[in-house]
Amino acid sequence: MVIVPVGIAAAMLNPVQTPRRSPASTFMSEGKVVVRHRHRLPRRSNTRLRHDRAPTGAAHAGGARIDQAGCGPEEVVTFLRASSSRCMTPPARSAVQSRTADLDRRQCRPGGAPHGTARLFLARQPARRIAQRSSGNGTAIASAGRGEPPDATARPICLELHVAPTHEEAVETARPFLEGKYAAYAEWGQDKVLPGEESFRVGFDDLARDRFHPRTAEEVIEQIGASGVRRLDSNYLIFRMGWPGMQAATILRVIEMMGTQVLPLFSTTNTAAADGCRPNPIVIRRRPVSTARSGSRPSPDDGHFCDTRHSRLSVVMSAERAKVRRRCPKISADGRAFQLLRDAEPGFPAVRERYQSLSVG
Amino acid sequence: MKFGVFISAQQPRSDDPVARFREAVEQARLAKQAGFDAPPPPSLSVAADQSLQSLPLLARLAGEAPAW
Repeated sequence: MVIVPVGIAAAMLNPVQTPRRSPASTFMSEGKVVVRHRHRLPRRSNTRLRHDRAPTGAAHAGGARIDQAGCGPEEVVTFLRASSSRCMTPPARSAVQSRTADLDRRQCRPGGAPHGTARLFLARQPARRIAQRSSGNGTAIASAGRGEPPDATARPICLELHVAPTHEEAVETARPFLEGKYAAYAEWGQDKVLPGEESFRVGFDDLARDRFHPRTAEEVIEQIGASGVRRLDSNYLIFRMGWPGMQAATILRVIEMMGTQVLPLFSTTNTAAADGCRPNPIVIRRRPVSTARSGSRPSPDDGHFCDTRHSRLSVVMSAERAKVRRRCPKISADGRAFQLLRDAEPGFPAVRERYQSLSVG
Repeated sequence: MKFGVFISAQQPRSDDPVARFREAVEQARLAKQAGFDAPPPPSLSVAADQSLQSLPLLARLAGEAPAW
């Protein structure tokens, strides 16, 4: 086993500055001990997980080293609590009994913050290699952390997304952050690898076309269900909904709007969407309707179409929201994420206050 | 259909990284409750900023949302 300081590895990945290693580890672990490993494991035909004792004696407790079939270079990060007397891995949640080695979580009992062990591929792996792993006998990157067997059918794609009550507000909010980000990309020269004459040094509208998605919730639903997913042939969407410098309250609002207005429609607990990777549980049809009182039905070619999706969606969404509220009472009727946070653990008042000042559409 | 969310590990250099870390934890907690399927991979994007270390942050966020 070769131990590589993560701070050094991160610095090699990109030119982003990282805080000094020790202070960052201290406040991120919140008093827990951080152990970081980098393994280079041989390919194996089976998956196994080895549960080790912590390496440095009584001051540490618990810990797991994960061996996964088909792994190349990987990093394993384990948070351990400093007090062995209060941190025992409950047998029922033993890592050995875990269904998978992708992610193992053990709560510290009694009380205290949880700690976790996460495993993932390094981002600097070539895309073709990740694709080979996703489609072959390796571990799909999309399944990391899901507590599920490797999913060779996952076809993940990452999208820049911002959701607001109106399209204009979504664009206005996201624009300065996206412009700054892609200006940095252009400065790095990342657009030099783009095909043809494509460049990041263009106006925002051109830059945003087919790349950013500042939208209302209904536009997101339509994009996911009707055209976007089918065109991209993806069944796993990862959204970047916040950018450096954006207020945390704004990001929380976007997460909350996605959770209450979009995700329930595509949830696997929704029976209509539970059959595999079918992209859209809602049938959104544009049906021709008559615009004349005589009842004459226009042909699809004459442009007299009435888009019925909004009325249909509102009915479906209302029903889905009711289901979600029954299933998860913490999702309140007024849709405020604060309601979720208030019922959760003690949080961060400053963020809550800022969030409360925002209205949710 | 699965959904994931990135949590930004970056912040402007003038920001307090401890405060931003706590906000990231709160975002992860809310994302879990909102129904996102996967633990949030910390994202890095802008060179001029400072960033939390991705892997420790991911491990911390994974532990913060126990059902993930």
